[in-house]
Amino acid sequence: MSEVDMAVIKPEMMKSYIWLQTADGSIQQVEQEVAMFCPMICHEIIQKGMGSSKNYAISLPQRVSPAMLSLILDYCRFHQVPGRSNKERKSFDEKFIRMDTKRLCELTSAADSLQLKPLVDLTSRALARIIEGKTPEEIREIFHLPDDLTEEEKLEPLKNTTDDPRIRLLNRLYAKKRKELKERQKQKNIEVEEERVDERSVDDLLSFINGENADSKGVATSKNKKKNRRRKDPQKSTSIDHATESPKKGSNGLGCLGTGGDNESHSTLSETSKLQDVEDDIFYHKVELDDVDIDDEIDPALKEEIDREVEDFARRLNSDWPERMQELLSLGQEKSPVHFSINGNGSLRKHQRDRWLRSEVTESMLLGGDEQMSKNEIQW
Amino acid sequence: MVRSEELNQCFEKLMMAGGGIDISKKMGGVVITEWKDIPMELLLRIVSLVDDHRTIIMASEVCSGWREAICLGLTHLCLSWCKNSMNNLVISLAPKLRNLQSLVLRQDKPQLEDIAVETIARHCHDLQDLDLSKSFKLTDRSLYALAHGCPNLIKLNISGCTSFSDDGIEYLAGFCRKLKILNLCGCVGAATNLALQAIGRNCNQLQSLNLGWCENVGDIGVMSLAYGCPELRTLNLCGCVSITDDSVIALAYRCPHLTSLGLYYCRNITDRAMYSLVHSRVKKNKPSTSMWESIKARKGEEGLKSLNISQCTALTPSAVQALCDCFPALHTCSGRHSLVMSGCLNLTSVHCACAVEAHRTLTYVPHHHAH
Repeated sequence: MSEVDMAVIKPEMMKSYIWLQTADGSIQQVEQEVAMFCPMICHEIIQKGMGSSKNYAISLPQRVSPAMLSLILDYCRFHQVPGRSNKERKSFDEKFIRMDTKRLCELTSAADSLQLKPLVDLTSRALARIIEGKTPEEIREIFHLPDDLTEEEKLEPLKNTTDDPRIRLLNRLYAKKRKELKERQKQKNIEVEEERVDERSVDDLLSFINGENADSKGVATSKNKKKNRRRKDPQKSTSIDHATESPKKGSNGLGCLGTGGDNESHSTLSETSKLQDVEDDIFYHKVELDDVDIDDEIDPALKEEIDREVEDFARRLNSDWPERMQELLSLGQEKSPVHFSINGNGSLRKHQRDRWLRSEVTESMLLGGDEQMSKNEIQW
Repeated sequence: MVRSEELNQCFEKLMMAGGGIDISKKMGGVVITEWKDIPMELLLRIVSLVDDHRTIIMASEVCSGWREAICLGLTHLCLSWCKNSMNNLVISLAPKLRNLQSLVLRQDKPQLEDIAVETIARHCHDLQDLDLSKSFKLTDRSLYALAHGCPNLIKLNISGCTSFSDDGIEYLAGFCRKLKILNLCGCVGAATNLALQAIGRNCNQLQSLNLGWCENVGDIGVMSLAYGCPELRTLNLCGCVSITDDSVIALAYRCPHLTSLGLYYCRNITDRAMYSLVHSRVKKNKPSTSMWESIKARKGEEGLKSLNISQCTALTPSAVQALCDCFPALHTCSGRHSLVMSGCLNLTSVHCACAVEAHRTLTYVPHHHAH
């Protein structure tokens, strides 16, 4: 828009009005100098000669609703006055963007479609401030966004080009934990079933473990809380703060560890996880606590299954590397679920399990306060 | 007409209340009721306005729409906030951020390993600006990878990467010929005469080079640089103790755009170097040079604006004063200290023009008050 054009228009139409039509069909008049502040409207007036009458009202983009239009026009009305100081403008802006997040989004979008750059900058910055420092979950809540990343995507396959089996194993472990935690979170809402005793047969459990969906409800085992058996590891005190709800819960966690873990392990054999969510720290803290709780509340059949897994992990974590390499490589090839075996050596396994859990604690300690799991620091 | 308006409003209310993304799609109209309807460019803009780039990572975890937008559109990323796991984060992110142009991986605690840089080089071919400073663990493998994968590099900072060797630099220079800004501060093993010769041969657009504390840099290297990089504007040779006058003379005559030169601790520098700088400037302004050249000399090329000759104890006041007179942008006054001479106790008499002026004004004041 050139000054010449402005000079030509102004003398003819002193306080002239422009007609604007929003997507819903409603038409309104706006003072010309206010409307001209929007480049898009300006363009329509100058280049296409629109807006001079009701019949030739300028059609605004669909992203501009009447409510947003009125906000935008308020903004234009203030800023198009040349005589204002920077301080005044800034002060107006600060007050102007004080609105709920939804309206802010709409406003950003509307301003963008009208190419009103200063307002787009202002609102964009405000929105940036809103999302600053938030976790994905919080952002989803604020903006009502769908949680539509698949489980795989959330695990974020780490493109493990060296095919390091250590990382694969580690990721399987963490994937298992994640799944376990998710199941547990679902369980939190189901208070009623807490007291239900699991009376399924061994076969049922086996088939469940071997392939069906890890339905948390199905795995609900007896949740008699034996709090006196719960080990209060002093290091975990911080994690207990985080996982405020889980002490009340109970058993299905490790149950899922067996099941969900297997399912996960198959799918994550070729995947690795990108675990940089701050959330993960919390997850792992929670998992720690729950592991301790549920030692004695699981169905013995599942328990054995879990014990075997724990044994495996403990062995891997503590044995020499070449041995482990071989194991891992062979494990990588084996696609069938973990074998179900009953073993009477409970006390030894408990010790091993404790050791394993303790090493888990170390892991979570390292994770605490970090943005991402630190694979390099875990002692193999 | 009215009825359809009413219907529209009803639907709108439904959408707002129920968060009905699907409903709005069925409507055919694109009324913004949800963040997800904001165009990708706008979303990217908002996400990139955050101060802490940790938020960008969080944002990519929100939903598939955001992830797509960020992965496709993110051009600038800084991961220096990572305290422990930058390596894994880079390995994970680099394959997705194909359009990345600027990446800052400066670390307080060395975490980055060759594999991370290799991953970057494999995927981020548009990378123009890379900061790998203080990555002590990186080896020449990274440089070879960057040479092949990121030929569009314009700005590279590998200061403090002490494990690089000059072979890596030589190789990189051969491929990354668009380099304009290169920081090799502290890369003692990498910044040698061999490396500088390679840079002089290949990186002819180089404008800024930092060779601070690279004690293996010698005259041969700097002279090759001067001959090969006529666009040089900023050169830091602080701590390059082997440098002699020959280097400065070559720079004076070969790099007409030189505005900033650091010679801190270059004890071998004598008045000869100073006079060569003066002479090269004077030569530009002589009537014998073409009119265009002298106009250019007066307008664009303002000559040295910043010079550090601290600890160059061989210099005498007359030479340095001549330099100061020749380059009006060199100041010794407290406000704009651009000629730094710490440790040169015999140069205390050297002053820039404004320092002299201020001194003169001060002596006049007592006379005026009597009126």
